[in-house]
Amino acid sequence: MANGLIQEKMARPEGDDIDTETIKKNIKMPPELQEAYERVVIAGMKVMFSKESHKLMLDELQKEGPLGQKLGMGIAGLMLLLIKESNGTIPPEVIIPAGINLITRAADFIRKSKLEKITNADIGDAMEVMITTLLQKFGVEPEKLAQMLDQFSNENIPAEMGA
Amino acid sequence: MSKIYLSRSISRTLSADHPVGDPTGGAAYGEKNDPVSAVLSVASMAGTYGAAAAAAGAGAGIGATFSAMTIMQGLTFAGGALSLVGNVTGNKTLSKIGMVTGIVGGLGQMGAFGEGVQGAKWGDSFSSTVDDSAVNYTSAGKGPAPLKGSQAAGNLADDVAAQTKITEANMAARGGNVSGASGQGAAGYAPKGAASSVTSPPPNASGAQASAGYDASSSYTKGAYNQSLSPTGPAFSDVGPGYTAPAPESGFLSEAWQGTKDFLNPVKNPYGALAVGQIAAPIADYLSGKTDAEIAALEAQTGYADANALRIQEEIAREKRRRENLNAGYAQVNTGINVNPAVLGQAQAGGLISGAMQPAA
Repeated sequence: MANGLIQEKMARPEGDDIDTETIKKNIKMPPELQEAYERVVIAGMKVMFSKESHKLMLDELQKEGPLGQKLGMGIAGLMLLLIKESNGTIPPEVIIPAGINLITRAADFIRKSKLEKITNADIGDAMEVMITTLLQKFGVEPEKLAQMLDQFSNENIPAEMGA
Repeated sequence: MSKIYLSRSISRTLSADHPVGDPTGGAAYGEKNDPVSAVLSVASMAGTYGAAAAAAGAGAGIGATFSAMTIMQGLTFAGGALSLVGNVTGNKTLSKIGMVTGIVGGLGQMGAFGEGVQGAKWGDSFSSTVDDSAVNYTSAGKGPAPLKGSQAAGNLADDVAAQTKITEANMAARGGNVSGASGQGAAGYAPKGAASSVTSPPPNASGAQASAGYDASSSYTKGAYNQSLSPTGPAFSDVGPGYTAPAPESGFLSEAWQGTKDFLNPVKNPYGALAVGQIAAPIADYLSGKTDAEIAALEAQTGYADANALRIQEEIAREKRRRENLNAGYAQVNTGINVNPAVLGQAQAGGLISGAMQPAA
């Protein structure tokens, strides 16, 4: 969008960091899935921060490439790993919310440990990459997702916020 | 600023009339808090669970669609967070996902993913893709050790303490501030509520499960969720400790329908019945695809009104110019008639001009 009032990457000034608490408040899990959701988040934290695998996470973050891309792909891989290790018994509904939660936790860790300078845009990119990657694993191609979002948002969302 | 509107059409109109407004909500933001959207969201949510239950009940043949749809259902629960992040960062994709999931109740409800998800299988997808290049944690054979039962049986407190030490060491090695480590590193990320929930034995769980509730490999295999792919196994009846969603044939749909009836019952919920009664036609229009036509008509109407206003303004301006020209012309024309001021001040019943005229002396 070249001449819209609200354009790509134009948003509130950086300053209010996206943190875990803010994201947690905006993830509304049904009561019957709350426990499963928390278990998956904790299992993910265990993989990210345990002595067996913490170095792997650090190595991944220190590779070349945009931080958002690395973070999103890493968390997507982590979620796939958890699904595989659980023999597919994790309720599918909790996968994406838990992944989003883990992204913010990893972002908090990166921010506080000063591994790299992480911005809100990096976190947003990471979430987009993770969702796209996970949905693709389920057979929903990114083009299909984008097409559907465009079609639906053009009908229901003002042009300034839509395509 | 009120962000509650009476109808979807009012939301759309306000959005068109006021494209710039509150950046966090309201019509300009694309938010639709009107009763139509609320009912559509509730209906789509119920539809999702109904479809999931029906699919699971029908057997493994529909299990693929069920899985793909249910993972997209997760977007609904995180829609608020995605909208927030999209708004803060300007990421349009997240904004769209957040808005769409807020409106539809789940991307799976759009229906257009049906073709894509037909080939998706819960087990097949991940068994074949975990070692994909996209999976960084397991690429190049560097994947973390699987969470074995022996690890799962370990004490959570020891694990957290070990994680704390490791994280502190890593942060110290990188020059990070490790003082007050309780607020930083791994220890700082252990949710207290979650930790307490996994250390307390869940209902009907063994001691080993209770002490290692965080371990997905042990805690979920005890449940029967994996039986959802089985032609004969129950899908939702027993997902695991603490997850006791009712079986599809045991009344979930009937409960959902009962909830819908209660919502529409004028005695139990007068406002809900009133709102639905008022918006019944807009829902039908929305579902029948007349929305675009309505928008086009609204735009045409607005354009016609604008053109009409311009035409009237031009007519007024033209009339003003005509009168100015006429007045200017009369002022310069010697008509040969003198006006008697004394007569002019009196009431003139016979006409505006005739009574004030008299022959020149």
